[in-house]
Amino acid sequence: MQPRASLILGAICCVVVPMGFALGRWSGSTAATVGGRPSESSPSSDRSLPQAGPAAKDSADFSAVTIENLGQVEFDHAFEMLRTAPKEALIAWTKRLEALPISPRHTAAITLFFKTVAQIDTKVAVDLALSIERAEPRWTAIGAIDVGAPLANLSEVARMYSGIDPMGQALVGSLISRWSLTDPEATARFLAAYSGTVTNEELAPFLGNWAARDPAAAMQWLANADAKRRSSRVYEEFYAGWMSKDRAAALQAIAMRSSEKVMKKAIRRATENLFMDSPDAAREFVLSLSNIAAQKEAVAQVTEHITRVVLGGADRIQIKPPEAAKWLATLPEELWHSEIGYVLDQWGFTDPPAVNAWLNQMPPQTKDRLLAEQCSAFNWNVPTTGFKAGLQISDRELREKTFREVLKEMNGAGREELLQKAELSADEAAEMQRILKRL
Amino acid sequence: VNLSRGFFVLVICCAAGLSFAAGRVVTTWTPARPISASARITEQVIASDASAAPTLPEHATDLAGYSFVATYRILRSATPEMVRTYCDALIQSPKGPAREAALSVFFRTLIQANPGLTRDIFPKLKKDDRWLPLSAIRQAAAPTGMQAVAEVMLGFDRGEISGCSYDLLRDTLNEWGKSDPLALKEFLDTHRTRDVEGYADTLLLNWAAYDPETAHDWMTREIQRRSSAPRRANEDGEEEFVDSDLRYVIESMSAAWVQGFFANDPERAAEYIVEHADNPAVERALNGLAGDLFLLSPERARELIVRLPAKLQSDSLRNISEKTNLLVKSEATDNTTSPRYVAEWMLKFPPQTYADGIGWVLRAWELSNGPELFSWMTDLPAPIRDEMVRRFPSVSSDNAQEDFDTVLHVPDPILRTQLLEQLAREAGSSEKQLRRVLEKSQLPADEKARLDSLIPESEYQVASAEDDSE
Repeated sequence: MQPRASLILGAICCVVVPMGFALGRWSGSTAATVGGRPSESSPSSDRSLPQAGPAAKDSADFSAVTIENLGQVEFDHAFEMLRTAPKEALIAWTKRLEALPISPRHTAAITLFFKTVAQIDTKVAVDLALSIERAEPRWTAIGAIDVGAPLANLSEVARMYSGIDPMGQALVGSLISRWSLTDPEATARFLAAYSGTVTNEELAPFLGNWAARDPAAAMQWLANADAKRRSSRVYEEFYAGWMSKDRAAALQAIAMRSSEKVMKKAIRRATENLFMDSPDAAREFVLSLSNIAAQKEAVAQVTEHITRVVLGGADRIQIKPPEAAKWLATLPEELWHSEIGYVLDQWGFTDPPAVNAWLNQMPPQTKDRLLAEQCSAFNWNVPTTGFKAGLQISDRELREKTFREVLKEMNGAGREELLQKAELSADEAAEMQRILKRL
Repeated sequence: VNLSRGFFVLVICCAAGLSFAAGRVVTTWTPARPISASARITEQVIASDASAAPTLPEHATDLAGYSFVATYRILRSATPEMVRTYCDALIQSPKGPAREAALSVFFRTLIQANPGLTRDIFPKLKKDDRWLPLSAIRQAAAPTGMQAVAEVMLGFDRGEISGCSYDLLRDTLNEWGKSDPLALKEFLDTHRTRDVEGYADTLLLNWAAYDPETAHDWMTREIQRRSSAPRRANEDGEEEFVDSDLRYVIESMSAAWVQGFFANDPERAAEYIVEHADNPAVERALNGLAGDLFLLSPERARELIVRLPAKLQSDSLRNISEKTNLLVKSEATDNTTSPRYVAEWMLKFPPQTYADGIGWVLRAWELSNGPELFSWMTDLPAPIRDEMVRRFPSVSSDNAQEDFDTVLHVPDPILRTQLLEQLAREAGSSEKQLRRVLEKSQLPADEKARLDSLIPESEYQVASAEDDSE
């Protein structure tokens, strides 16, 4: 071979080798990606449940996938399989899922399929869901897309709902609540064109989210909206959102309208938020309200976290009786009257020395009034702390008046039972007997 | 010359073939290169989404704008330390929608990319900061991530995640069990000290749907184990469990198994139900599965129900009424759950059987397509129409005005009057709202007074949302 020919051959090889190598890598990675077999470590892979994923021998054979078993493979495999699957495969799986007999297990499979596809390509998921004719799987798919679609793709969820006859039902609450977190203007445009029902309860978070970004725009929207939209609940969220953007301006606006009944929830929410952040700021806000009724509403929002009975579930806002009591005592008496008693009784129930120490720091007259409040709010099942508080009232007249009020509705047997429960000392019991004689 | 040309082609082909094979082999077998996490992230984000930032966004809250694919790959390849640092930055960002959005995206993705790390991060969050992430992971978790979600939930006080009418842990375990009951069984077995025994029914419901025999064996052993719990004599001298809930728990397990068995083999389960209809557990199971059977086949549901005792027939129809879907039109291709279909299906039973269930179907129909309902009622034979009127629900406290207006626009005057009277007679705890709506209506004064006189005084009043909106 001539040297020139060898050089040409070498040059061609230099071009061909990297191309071949790159082609080999590409083909290898493609084959590996479409595998989607269940993981060996999948918790159920070796159990009696049928395996999901394509047949092991042909990892790219999407038609061999038992799509209803998607939930049994590691998410990474499910993700890669659905991400790389051609549209024809997605359509075929949708048809298969639609045709399955309705059962909780199959509903779970439809949910998982659509939730995952919605995350990867929301548009495709929406098109597939809208192509389903059977009612149950169709609405399951729609619900899954609503839950699964990423925030960045919610315009596709909006398109989905725009293509559905809502039959007078409220369907878009979750959508507008989530979408307005990142794009309230787009949410507003959607709402302007949407013909279905949107309740005030659903609308409220949207306005709250918008007000947190652009209070003026949110306010303008509300001003232009139907009067029914300007409800107590909507204002609550709107002002809460505004507070997170510009607390001072929002609080001033609330205070200016504090005599309006529709502002009740906004006042309560603002007080609660402020109290959790700074009791001093909450106090300042309460006192800035223009009327006593609004101020009492505000105070009640804090104390109700201690006084109310929550049926089922726990109160997620944890306010301790001592902090509430100390805060209430910084307010004018007309605001803590008939609020602080139960709070003190709760505190006294868990830590009597701490309550006594705190009360002992008070001027005598204030201390007496606080003890009278505590006594009036005694617990019928555990009356000890309340009664002992009443017996500590130094002003004899106030002490007798307090017990007279407490016991006036009770007959002799009832009083006797209550006094037995109260577990008073001999001196305290004697004092009680003296008071009872004068009733 | 020909030989040298042939040699030329042969060499080139060999070089191409060998390099191609080398490329494939390298792809298949080369272990992950130990590159830095940030470099990996850069590669992957560019590969998956050219418009996304190459690394985790500088401002933590910008994550909300990333596609799922980009976020997933970032979190999947990032080191635990990076993820934790990023989580801290998100938690410390100013409260507001941007933080909420980013936290939601972060946790929704992380529970899918790395469930174990998600579980490990939770205990380090302040209590107030846990609710949004909890909601995010519950919504997004795939079945293989459900164990992590359940373990996160065990870190909450049970009272915080459950109440009279909800139990977030049960919801999660149920979703998990639908896809992987054996993993759920293992979880319950290995967490016995964490107060999870009450969820055995959730396991059985889902396990029996896959494998009723094995699930039944497990249930039998479990009931035997639990039945050895301490007992005492009650007032009547009968023996009862000291733990008063135990009897209920055991019955729940049996009922759940029947439901699961039904999902696995409706034919055999139907026979079993008929044969054991006097068993309290079967009675309870029917409350859950009658609706499922209806969805599977209304005709088969009817065939089963007519073989049951009268009370169970009535209970089954009430359960089926809850499957009515307000969003399904009468003329839809699949209209089985449309209010009209369900109503007409129920009318094939005697009135005393559908009496409890038809009310909700009529309400659903009224809400979705009132004119169609009233036209249908008008055309019914008089006795059936009267029965439908008697079962027609009254106004709700929150929508008294709309409910009243719908009836006020019924075209047929006789039916309209009948229904207005029914609304008045059955106002119940919505008395105040109905009186208010009636007073504001355009009806003649004497008609208002007549209807008002039919409204019974209610001991209880329900506050409406409207009360707060004035």
